[in-house]
This record gives sequence, structure tokens and C-alpha cells, in this order.
Amino acid sequence: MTDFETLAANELPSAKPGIEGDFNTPGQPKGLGDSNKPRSLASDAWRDLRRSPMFWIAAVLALLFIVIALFPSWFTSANPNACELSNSIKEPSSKAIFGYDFQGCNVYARTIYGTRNSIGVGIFATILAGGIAFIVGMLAGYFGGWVDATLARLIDIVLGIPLLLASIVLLQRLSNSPHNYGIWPVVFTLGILGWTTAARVVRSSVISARQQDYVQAARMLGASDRRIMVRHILPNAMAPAIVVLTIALGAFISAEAALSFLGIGIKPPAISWGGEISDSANRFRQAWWPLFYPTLFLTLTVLAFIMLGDAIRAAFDPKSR
Amino acid sequence: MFRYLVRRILQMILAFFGTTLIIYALIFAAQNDPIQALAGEKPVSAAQRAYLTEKFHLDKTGIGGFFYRYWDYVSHLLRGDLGQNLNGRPISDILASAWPYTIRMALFAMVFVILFGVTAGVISGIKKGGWFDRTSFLLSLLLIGIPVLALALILQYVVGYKLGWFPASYTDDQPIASMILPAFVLGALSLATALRLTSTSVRENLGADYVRTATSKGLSRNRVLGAHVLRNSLIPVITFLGVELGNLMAGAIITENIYNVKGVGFNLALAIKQEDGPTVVGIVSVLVVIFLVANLIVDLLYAVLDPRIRYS
Repeated sequence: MTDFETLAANELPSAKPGIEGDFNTPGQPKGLGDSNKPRSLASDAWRDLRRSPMFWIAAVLALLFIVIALFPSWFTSANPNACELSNSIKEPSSKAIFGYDFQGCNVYARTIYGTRNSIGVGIFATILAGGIAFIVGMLAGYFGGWVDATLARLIDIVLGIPLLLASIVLLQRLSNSPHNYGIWPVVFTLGILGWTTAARVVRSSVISARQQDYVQAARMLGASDRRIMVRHILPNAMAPAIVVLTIALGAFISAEAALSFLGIGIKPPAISWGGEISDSANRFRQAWWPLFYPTLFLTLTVLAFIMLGDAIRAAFDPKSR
Repeated sequence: MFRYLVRRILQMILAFFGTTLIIYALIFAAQNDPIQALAGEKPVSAAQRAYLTEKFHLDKTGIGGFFYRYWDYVSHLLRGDLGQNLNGRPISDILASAWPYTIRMALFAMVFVILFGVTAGVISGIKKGGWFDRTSFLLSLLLIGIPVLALALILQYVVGYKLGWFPASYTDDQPIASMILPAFVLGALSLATALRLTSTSVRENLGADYVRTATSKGLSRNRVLGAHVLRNSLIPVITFLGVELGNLMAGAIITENIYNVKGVGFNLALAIKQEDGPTVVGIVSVLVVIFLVANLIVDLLYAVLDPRIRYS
């Protein structure tokens, strides 16, 4: 998944600093003719997005899953933890539309309640990774010199470790704790390991924004480094970073499912799609529904976020016009 | 070239120490009882405790002790000595029996990537905007967006079990037919990425000045495409494929687990389930080193293939 993230990041026009990048994209110097143009890049991108069916499908799906995650009780009145062995692998019926799993739990209720943990991991890990990415990328790009050299090496090293492998090692250690902290060990692990691509994108946007006239002007007016960074440079780094982070959100949900499948992600009694899949993957010959529905939800969610990120990237890419 | 080589290798050495230090710190830092941590929730016998204390020099304490132990771990790793798992079996033995499966699967996956990904990428790059381009772009987005876990299970159920075209899981009796599904799943993400990369690269090169020159001096379209566009477009693709081969070997944990291929990833998942810390550390360390070396080779390959890259 990280590969696609990197690829998408490379295709972002603002990832190419200086004259290599295109005009009229965030992070690039504005062309002279710009003041005559009535529309900004953002409104151009929005015009493109509005006409893209893929964007609407992805956005509606993503929104639906976020609503399910926030209010699972709107969608089911069944208790996901009320399991009776006498119900074991009963087929889908009007009482339990996704059937019952091997433990006799209601698959629909468990899938709905699993949404909260899976989306939660994705969103909180993205917030953590985004926070680290903005701080590291901003410091490296703004101060340059040895700060940049050190941070760039750090990015290289963390990027050099495959996300899943490093997560396994860290979670192996975190999960020895006698307490069950629910989703937080996974959030922490994915967040502190998954920020590198976004940090690179922020860094290159900052580098190209730093040299612009209005930043020089702000500096000469006596603005502090902090004010310049937050008010003048940060907005330039926003759009490309959000594209990468949207794709990362999908990747994090996918990684969470893989880790829970391996037994070191979200642990029972907390419910997660990966855990549900792991419980029923070996016995699909007896009953397909306990495996099928969590897999379907997982696929649609990850697909929605990745398609969303890709659609936004394409809209902000002047080459595609 | 020589200076570039030296600098790149120095960088890799730095990355090696940084990476192993991070991995080592993740496992051992701030641990009350590291031996118990390695063994997970299982009870540790006195003999195992003595072996692990010896092996990891746990009698030394403090920051100095940490670096002492880290150095010990790295020097063992460099010598290829990975120690024993909790049952006393050498970890290098486990790896030796697992590598043939993993390597075979990665090579199969690479064949899929080149056969479908690169070929489709070239076609869709040449016929930009055509139906083939749009279809393959949408399909590649699907392959990228579907999690490996889900793709593996869906194909296993539909193609392996319902349709019965290929065996649903790996058996040594049918080493080729039963390897096709897991190898396709493993290569799916790379296939999609390679398709997009090739397509973008071909398209960019089609608009390049030297292509216009070649066309205007009267070369046939096939010659322009073959000698100028393709050769230049495939440079980034080849480097990508190089990195991917390392990725494919390291990334097969889920796929090997679902399709019962007894490779490195399968043993890693098994070690996680059995809470066998030393094996997890050993296998992950080896995989990370492979990943680093693959990256290095690709960078050097890139420099050889593309003379525009400056070595200074």
C-alpha cells in the first residue's frame, strides 16, 4: 500500500520543487497572468471533482462508513456480544440478515460495530501521522541546512522499513501488556511508522513556498518564524498533504485488518473486521457468510478512501486537464 | 561513478544501523522483564531464561548495557547467526527451509507483473484515452484499493473453491498450479502500480523532443516506439521492479498464511501466534536487510541505465 502512496505523492505536481514543478499548483510560484484569472486552483479542482462519478461514489461510501462508525446503534439493535452457540453458523435470515458465525454471534451486528474500531484506527492513526508529517516536513523544509539533512535521513530510515514488518515488531512488544488498550496500540504503531511519505510531500511544498515573495515580505515586516510557518507556508502544503493522507487512511485501515488477522492488532473483546475474518477464514467451506461480510465492508471502506484520494489528486493535477 | 558508489554504500550502512537500532529499541527498550517479553504470555523455563540472558547479555544494565546488547545483536546478525527459537531450533534452519517457497512465489509474482502490468501499461500509454486505457486504469485502481487480505480471501473462495480453476491452497503435489493464485495475489499491487507507472512514463516520453525529432526525420512509427520511447520509458519501470522484488519477498506474510505456502512470511506469522519473540526478531531483521540491499542495487542500476543521473 505504501507503494501506491509514494507513487501518488510523486505524481503530485507540487512534489517537484522549484522550476521543475508546474505553475498554478499549490506550493508553486504564481504565474504573472494569474491576477486576471477569475478562478483559483481550488475552485478549478472542485469543478473537476463535481463532474467525476468516481469521486461521488467514493465520497458517499466514505461518509456512510463514517456515520456507521459514529452511530452503530442507528443501524442495528442487536447486541454484537450476545452470542449463543445454539445459533452457530445459522444461515442469513430476516432475524439476522448476515447470518450467525461459528460462535453464534450475529454477523451483521458484529460487522456494524467493527466499523467503529476499523475507521477509528484509520482516522486517529492518520491524525497522528499527519501531525508528525507536518512538524517534521515543516522544520526540514523551512530551516534547511543540518536540520533538513538530519530529518531527511530519519525519513529515509523509517521509510526503509516495510510498514507491516515494523508494526509487527512494535505491536509484539506493546501487546505483552496485561491490560487491553483496545485500538490505541495499533493507532500508535501505525501513526509513528506511517508518516514518512506525507512528510516528504510537506517538505517539498515548504521548500518551494519559502522562496516566494510574500514570504520574504512577511519576514521583512518582522513576522516571526512561527507566524510565517503557520500563516503563510502551511496553507501551501495543505492540499498535497491531504491527498497523501487520504490514501494513507485507506492503507492504515487495511494494515489494521492485516495485523488483527495475524492476531496482534485489535484484540478481543474489542471487535474488528480483521479479527472476524481471522476467526472464519479457515472454515469458509462450512459457511461463507461470517467471512464474506466483514471482507466486503473492509474492501469497500479501503477502496472508498483510496479512490477519494486518487480523485482529488487527479483534480489537482494540471496535466490531466 | 566510484564516488557515487561509495556514498550510496555509506548511506546504506547508516540506514542499516538506523533501522536495526529502531527495531532493537522497539523490542527491548523500557522493558521490565525482557525475557518474559520475548516469550509473551507463556511461562519461561529456567534453561530458556539462562540461554536468553546469556544470548542477549541481560546481566549488563543501563544505557551502556543497551548499546552493548545492540552491538552484540548486530554483530551476530552480520555473521548470519540468528540464534535459536524458543524450542531450541536454529532460526537459520527455519529460514533455510522457508526461502525456496518465498523466492519461487516472488518470481512467479514478478512474471505476472511483467506479463500483465508492464505490457498493459505500454499499450495504455500509447493509446492514451482509449477504452483500453480507461479500463485498465479502473482495474488497476481496484487492485490497489482492495486490501491484500480481502483479495486473497475472495480469489481463494471464488476461483479456488467455487470455480475450482486452481487449487484453493498450496500443496507440494502441484507446485506450479497451486502457486498461481497466491503469486497473483502477491503481485496484484505491484502489477497495478507497474501499469500506472509504465503508462505515465510512456506518455511522457511520447511528448519528448527527441521523439518528435525521430518522427520528423522519417523513422517509422514502430522504430520510434521501439528504439526511442520504450527504451527510455522502461528505465523507471525497471528500477521499480527491482525494489518490488525485495518488497515481494518481504511482503508475503498475509498471502503465505492464507494459501498455506510454508515460506518466510508463513513462519513469521506462526512465530507471532506462538509468541516466539526471538524468531520474530530474527526473521524481521533478515527481511529488513534484504529490503535495504534491494534498494541499493536498484539505485546503482538506475545510475547505470540512465546516464543523465549525475554521480556527484
